[in-house]
Amino acid sequence: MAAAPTSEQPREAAPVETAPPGAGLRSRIEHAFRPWRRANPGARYLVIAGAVITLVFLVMAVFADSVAPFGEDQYCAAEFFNAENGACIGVGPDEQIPNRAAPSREYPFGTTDTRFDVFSRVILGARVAFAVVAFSTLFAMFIGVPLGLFSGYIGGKFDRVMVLAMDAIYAFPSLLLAIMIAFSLGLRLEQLGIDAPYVPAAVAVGAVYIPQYFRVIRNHTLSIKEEPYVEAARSLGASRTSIVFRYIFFNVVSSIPVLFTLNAADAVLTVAALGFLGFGIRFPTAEWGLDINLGLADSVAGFWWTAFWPGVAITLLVTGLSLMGEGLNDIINPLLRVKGYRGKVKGGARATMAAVGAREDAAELDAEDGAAGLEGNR
Amino acid sequence: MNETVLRIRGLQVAYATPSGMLHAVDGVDLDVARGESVGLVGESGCGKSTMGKALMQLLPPGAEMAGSVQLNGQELVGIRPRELRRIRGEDMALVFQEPMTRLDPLMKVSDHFVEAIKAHRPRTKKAEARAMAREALMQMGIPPTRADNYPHEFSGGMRQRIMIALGIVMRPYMVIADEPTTALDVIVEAQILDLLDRLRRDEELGLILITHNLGIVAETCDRVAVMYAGRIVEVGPVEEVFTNPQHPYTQGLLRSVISVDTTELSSIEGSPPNLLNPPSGCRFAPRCDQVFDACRTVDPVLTPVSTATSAACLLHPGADAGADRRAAAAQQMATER
Amino acid sequence: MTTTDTLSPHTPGTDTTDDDGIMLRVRNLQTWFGHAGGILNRNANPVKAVNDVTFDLHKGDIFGLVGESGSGKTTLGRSVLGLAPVTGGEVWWRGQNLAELSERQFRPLRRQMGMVFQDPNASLNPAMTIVQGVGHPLRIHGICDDRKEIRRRVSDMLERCGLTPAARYMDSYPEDVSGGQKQRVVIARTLITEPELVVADEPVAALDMSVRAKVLELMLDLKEQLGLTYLYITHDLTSGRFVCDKLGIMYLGELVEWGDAKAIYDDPQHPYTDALLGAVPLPDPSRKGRDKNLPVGEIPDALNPPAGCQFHPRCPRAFEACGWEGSDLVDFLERRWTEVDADTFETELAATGPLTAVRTDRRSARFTAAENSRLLPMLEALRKDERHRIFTGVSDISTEGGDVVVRFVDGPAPALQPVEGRMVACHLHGVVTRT
Repeated sequence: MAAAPTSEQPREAAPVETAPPGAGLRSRIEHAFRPWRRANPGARYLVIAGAVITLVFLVMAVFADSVAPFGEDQYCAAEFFNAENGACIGVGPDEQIPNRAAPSREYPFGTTDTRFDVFSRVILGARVAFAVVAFSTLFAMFIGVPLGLFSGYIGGKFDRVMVLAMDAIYAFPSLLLAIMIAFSLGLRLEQLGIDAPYVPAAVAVGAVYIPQYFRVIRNHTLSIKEEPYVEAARSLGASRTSIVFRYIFFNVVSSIPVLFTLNAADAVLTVAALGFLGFGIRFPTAEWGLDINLGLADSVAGFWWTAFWPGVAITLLVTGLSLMGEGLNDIINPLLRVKGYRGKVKGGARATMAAVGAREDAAELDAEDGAAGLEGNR
Repeated sequence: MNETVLRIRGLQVAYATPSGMLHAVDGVDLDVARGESVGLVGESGCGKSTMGKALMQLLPPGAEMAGSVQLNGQELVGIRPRELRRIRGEDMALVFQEPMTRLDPLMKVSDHFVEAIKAHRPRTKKAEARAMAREALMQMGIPPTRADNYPHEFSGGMRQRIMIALGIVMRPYMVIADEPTTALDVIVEAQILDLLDRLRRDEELGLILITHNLGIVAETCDRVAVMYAGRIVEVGPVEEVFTNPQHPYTQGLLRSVISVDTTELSSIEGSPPNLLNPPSGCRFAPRCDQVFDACRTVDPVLTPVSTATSAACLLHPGADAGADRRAAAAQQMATER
Repeated sequence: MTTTDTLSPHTPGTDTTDDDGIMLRVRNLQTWFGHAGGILNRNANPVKAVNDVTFDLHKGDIFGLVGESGSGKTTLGRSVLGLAPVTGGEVWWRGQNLAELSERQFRPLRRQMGMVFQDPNASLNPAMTIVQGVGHPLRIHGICDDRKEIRRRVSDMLERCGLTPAARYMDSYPEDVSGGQKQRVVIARTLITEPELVVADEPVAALDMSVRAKVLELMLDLKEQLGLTYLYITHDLTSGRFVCDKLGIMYLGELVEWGDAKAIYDDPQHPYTDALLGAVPLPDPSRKGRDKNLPVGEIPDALNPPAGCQFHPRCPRAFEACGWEGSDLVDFLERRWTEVDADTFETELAATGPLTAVRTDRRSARFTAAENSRLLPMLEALRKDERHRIFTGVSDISTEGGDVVVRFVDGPAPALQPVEGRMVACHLHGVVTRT
C-alpha cells in the first residue's frame, strides 16, 4: 500500500477546539466578499462611483431637515413660520420669500411661483424618493422572491399558474398599472380616513416590480434545482423547506442585490412619473416629479430653475443607482458573460474549420480551453 | 521508414500570469517519424495538453512559444497565419476531444468537407469535393448514404469519426490527437482507436496521441513520451518503457493504473509542482520514492538508458550533466536562428 | 453462489431477513420516463431507463453495476434510493418495499443509506462551509443539535476520510479544496449518519488519475472499518475486478449478466460482457494489435430500442432467435457500404433504391423503390454468406405487390437464466423468453 491515506494518524491530533471562536463567522464573511476581491477593477470603480453618488443623496435624505434651509411649504423666514399649520403669521408680502427669484446666494437654486425655496425642496424631495423607493422595492422583493423560489422548486401546475399571472402583470404597461393602483388605493385610503401620503405611490411602484423578482428568482431556482447538490440534499433526507432555504435560497440570493439596485433606479423614475402626472405624492409635499410638473409653466416663461434642479436630482440619483447595479452585476455574475452551449458549439465548429485550414485562426476561441489548462497548472 | 516528419527541439511555452511567467512546457525535444505513433502521457497539469495546443498553434493569446517545431523541414514557431492555414489540413490534421460541440449544427456534414477542400483547392468542383468527402467518410466507417445528414443526426462516436475524416480529407502526413476518445464509451473508444491505427498504417501517418490513459498508449503507440512538470522525463519504445520503466515517475504512473489484474492499489503521493515556482533540482524529487541528496540540487537531463530509451533521472549515470547540456542546447538554438 | 442459482427473477419479493444475508432485494424494477407525450412529442414511447431489473445485494458486498453511458446504471442506483421515480417493481429493504414509499415516508430511512455522486465539484452546496454541509445530515435526522457536538463529529469523520487536520478544512468552502478533497468531503457527509448501504455513482471518474487510487482505497478502507455495503456504479470495467464482489452488467436499462465478479471476469457468458472486457485498453504492450472482436455500432437510442435481445444488432454471435427486425437490414446495408468499394456501392444502391424508401417494421422490411430483378439475387447472395448474422433471422425473401419484402422470424426477448453460477439473459444458453 504505497498510498497509505492519512486517516491512520491519531484522531486526537487536532482537537476541534483549536479553531478560534468565530473562525466560522470570519470565513463566512470572507467568503461573502470574495467576488468583490476577484472582480476586475473596472467593475469595482463603477460600484464605488455609484455608491458615492447614492450615499450623498442618502445623507441628504436622512439629514434633510437640518440641511435644508427652509421647510417644504415655507414661504417666509423661519422666525415667522408656524410649522404646525404651514402658515406665515402676520407677514406682509414684502417679508415673504420672493416669488420666482433667480438663483442667488440666499436661494442657491432660486424660488418658485409659490415662494418656496427650490434648494430646500430638492433636498427634502430626496427623503420622499428614498422612502418610496426603499418601501416599494422591499415590498416587491418580499413578495416576489419567495413566490419565485417556491414556484421554481415545486413546479407543475402551481408554477404554470404563477408564471401566467406574473406575465400578465409584466405585459401590462407598468406606468399605467402604477397609476391605476395609486389612484384606486389613494381613493380607498381617503375613504377610510387614513393619512398615509407615501403608501399609494410605494405600493403602486412595488407591485410593478414583483414580476421581475419572481422571474429572476424562479429561473435561477430552476437551474439550481438540477444541480447534483440538491439531489444530494434529497439523498440525505432533507425536507422540502430545508432544501429550498438552505440549498437553493443561498445560491440564488446573489442575484438579488443587482436586481434591487437596478429596480431602485427604475423606481425613482416611476415615482417621479407618478408625481409628474399628479397620481403620486400630493402637493405641497416636496417630490421631484411633482416639482417638475409645477415648474413646467415657469420654464416656458423663462424661469428655468424651478424645473431644472429637481430634474438634475433625478438624473444623478438614477445614474448613481444604475452604475452601482451594473458594477454589482459584473462582480456577482461574471459567469453570465461566458457564452453558453450555443456559443460553445459555434466556437467549436469554427475551431474545427480553422484546424483544417478552412477558416481564420480560431486561437481566441480556444482561449477558454487554454485558460482552463492554466488553472490545472496552478 | 525512419524519415522524421516532426522534429521538436527545445520547445518552450510560457503563459503570462499575474504572479509571473508560468512555463507550462519547458524545453521539450521529440521526434516523430513517418508512420510512427507517439503517445504523450502524464497527469493533468503536466503540460501535455499545452504541448498539444502548441503543436496545433492553438495557444491562447498571451502565451509565448520558443524553440523549434519543424514539420517536414518547415519551421512552425513564428509561422505566418497564411502559411499556417495551408499546413493545417494539407500537412497536419488535428483531432480534438468533445466531438459533440465541434461541428456546425447548421451545416450538412458534407458541406464541412466541401468548405475545407475548397479552402485548399479553390478550383475543385463541388461534385468532386463531395466524392472526396464520401471516400474519407467511408474510410472512417460512416455510411456514404448519410453524408448529407446534419451533425445532430450522429452519435458522439460517429461525430468523432467525422472529425477525423474531415482532418484527413486532404491527405496530411501528420496527425495530432488530443484526448480523442476521452468523452466516449469503452467500446466506441476501441473502435475509434482501431480506425486511427489502421489509418496510420495505411497512410503512413505520423501520430501524436495525447492521453492520460496508459492503456491506450500501450495498445496503439510505437513510442511513448512521459511528461512531468513541463518536461519529458522518459521516452522510448512502448514495449521497453511499459515493461521496464526507468524513471521513478513512470514506475509510479504504471503502478497507479487500476487494471483487471490489479491486486493492490497504489498511487504517487503529492501532486505536481506549481510551475510558477518549480522545485530546484529534479522536479519530481519531492514526490519521488527513490530520492537522494543530489536530486534536490541537480536538475537531470534526458540521457540514453538503453539503445532506444532515454530517461531524465539521476539514478542513471550521465543525467547530471544538466546545466551544461541545457546551456549548450540553448546556445546552439540561438546560433541556428 | 447458491442464492444466485436458486433465484428466480419472477418470484415476488419477500422480506429480507438477516439469516440469508441479503440486504436489498430488487425485483423487476422499472423506471420509465415521459410516457405522457406532449403535443410536440410524436412518439409517445416511454424511455425505459430501467426495465425489469432483478438482483440481490448481500450484506457487506460490493456490487458493481457496469455499463456504457445511457445504459441506465445511474438511474437504477437513484431508483433504489427513491431519488428517481420508480414506475414498477419492488425494492425490499428490511421488510419494507422502498418502491412504495412516498418521499416523506422515505426520509427517515435515508440515514441508513447514502449516495456518493460522480462530480464532487457539483455535489456540495457552494453556499455552505464544509462543517455545515457535512454536519447537516445530523441536524436533519435529529441525531444531534448541539453546535459543538456537531463540530466534533464532523471533525472526526473528516479525519477518518483522510482530511487531516480537520480544523484546516472545517470552515472553508467547497471551492477552496481540490477535487479529490471534495470527494472525501462528500464521502464524509454520506457516512456521518452511519449508513449501512452506500450507492457510489462513479465516485472516481471525475477525478485526476493520480487521485483515483487514493479515493478508491479510502472507500475500501471505510467499508472494512464501518461494515458498509456498496452499490458501486461505474463505466470502468478495469477497477471492477479489484473492487467488486458481485458484478451486474447493464445494457439499455436491462441487466444482461450478474453474479460473482471473479467468475464473470474469468469467463464472461454474455457476448456484451465479453465485448466490454475485450475493449478495455490495458497498459500491456503485448496486447497490441490483438483482435478485439468489437461489436459494431454504438448503444442505440433508448427512445427506440431494438426488439428481442436489445444487443442483437451489435452482437458478433447473434443468431435467428435474437429478434431481428426490418430496421436491422437497413443498418446492415449502410454498414456494408462503408466496407465495399465505390463501384459495388453504386450498383447495390441502384438495386435497393434510396434506403429512406424502405418501410420497416418489427417483422419485415419492404423495399418500395427497388429494382426487383437486381435486388432479389443480391439479397439471396448476401444470405448465403455466413458472416452476415442478420440473415440467420430471415425467414423469407419475396416479391409482394411489386415490392421486395424481407421477412424475419420471431425473436423473443431473453430472460435471465442461471448459467455457470450467475444469471445471464442470452439466447445462446437456451431460449428462455420473458413472461
